Amino acid sequence: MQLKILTVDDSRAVRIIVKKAFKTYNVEILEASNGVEGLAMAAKQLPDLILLDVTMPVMDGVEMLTKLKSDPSLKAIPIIMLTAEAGREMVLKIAKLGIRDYIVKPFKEDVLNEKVGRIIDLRPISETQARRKTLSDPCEILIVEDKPVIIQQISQGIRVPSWKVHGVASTGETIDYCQKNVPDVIVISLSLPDEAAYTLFRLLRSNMKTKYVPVFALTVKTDLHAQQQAQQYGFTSILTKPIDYEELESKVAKAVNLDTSERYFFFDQDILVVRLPESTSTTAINEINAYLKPKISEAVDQGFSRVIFDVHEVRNVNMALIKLLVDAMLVCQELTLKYGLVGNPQLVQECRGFEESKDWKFHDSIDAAKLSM
Amino acid sequence: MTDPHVQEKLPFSPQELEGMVIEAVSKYFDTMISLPIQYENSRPGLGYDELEGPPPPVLPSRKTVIVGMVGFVGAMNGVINLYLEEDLAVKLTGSFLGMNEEEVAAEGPEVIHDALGEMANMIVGTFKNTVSDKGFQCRMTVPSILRGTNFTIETPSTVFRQIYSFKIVDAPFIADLTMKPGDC
Repeated sequence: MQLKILTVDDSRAVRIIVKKAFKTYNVEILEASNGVEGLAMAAKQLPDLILLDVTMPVMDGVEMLTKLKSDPSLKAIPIIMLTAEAGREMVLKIAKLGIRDYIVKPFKEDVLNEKVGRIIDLRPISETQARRKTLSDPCEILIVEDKPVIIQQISQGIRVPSWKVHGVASTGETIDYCQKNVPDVIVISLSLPDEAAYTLFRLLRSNMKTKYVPVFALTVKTDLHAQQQAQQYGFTSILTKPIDYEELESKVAKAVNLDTSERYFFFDQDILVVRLPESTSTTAINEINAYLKPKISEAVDQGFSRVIFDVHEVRNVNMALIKLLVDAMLVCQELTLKYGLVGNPQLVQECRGFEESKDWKFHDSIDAAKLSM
Repeated sequence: MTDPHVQEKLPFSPQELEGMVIEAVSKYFDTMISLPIQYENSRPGLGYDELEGPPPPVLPSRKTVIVGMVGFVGAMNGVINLYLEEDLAVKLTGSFLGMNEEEVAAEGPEVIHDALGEMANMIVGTFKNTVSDKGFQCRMTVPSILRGTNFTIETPSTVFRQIYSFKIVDAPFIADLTMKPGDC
């Protein structure tokens, strides 16, 4: 739902500046040029926040504020005064009437955004409207770790070519870096001295630029106390050392809402191919499961009628894999799609050991599967 | 010219007033406009002279001059008139509103007047807030705009008047302060 901010100012210039300040956020700006218009607009639109000037013709901001606060249906709307009137007595008088904040003109856009962001949930338009990013889009991961060797390991361990890792060693360096570039994900080592990880986490969450950036905690697998504390603080996710890069990539993808389906789903001429990876970890199985129904339905929508499940790269058969394939076949049956299986001899042998898969017929290659369908 | 005894009636020294005007102008330009402004000097404002007639224009120019005016009333009464040439007004409006000069021109003179009125409001607001915080409560008036060529604004010699000159992108920018103690 789009939030509404009402700006009440007799200066069109100020209303233009307010509009400009919020143009990258998912908010609708409503305008009024004096207190009378402001009250009418507030009653009609019930905005989520009002930015109110003091000195205006017809009805000034103090009178409008008094009327708003005496109207039961409007008194809960948070108000920020945005005015050049800032003598101590005037501020005290207005504060007594009940406002959430006071911004003195001249003002910086950043200050306006930050103060408004403390009251309503400002979200960038890109987060709400943009195309969902895929694995080929750039993604910047900032690692906050005072041991350079760990940063280097992570940098080398990530397999997605479009992802870039940048390392910093301290809170100060992180804040400086985030002022210039906002990373897609921040990973903070919990072993930073003096509990700096938690202080940094709080700083990142109180800054408009980094408020919504996913922040992961990095700690050793055996330190359960640190993991629990990070969870209580509200870290987006926890990574444990030694790092499982498949898990790291999956958590990053989930945190930034990446579409990773291209890893497993692709079209080969007129056939949808679902290719399972070498390692059928829980992470991978869950990821494929989440895409399964929407991707197959999308293929049907586009006129495809055949699906091949290519499992020839899979090393070990387990119940999770069997269940995934059973579910996948059921989806195909529901949608009356033809489907085939491609496997390797070891996998075929292993599948015979499970009740659910003992009768499955596998082909040696995609071409062989195509010919049989 | 201001009567020399008028200054003595004000609770602020000329240096204090100069500092307050420079701070108010600089704060506006630092915060809202990404263009540097330099303070040059100040001079007393001239009034009507029996022998010489009206004083020369505060900003002598062949171009159209625009003045943004905002007053303050209360324990101190006064007005600050901000003078600038039209070319500079277009540039400042563009910087202020995040528009290029063509976009400003397309909006017409109303948007320039509105932006200059708000500029005067913000500059005078900062000045007036300092005056209020020093114990002289006052309120501001709504802005007004004067546009023309070869004109003078006169004040009686019984009020303090000082003209502060600035330069921005090689063009003049003048703050003309008139002030006297109020009745309340």
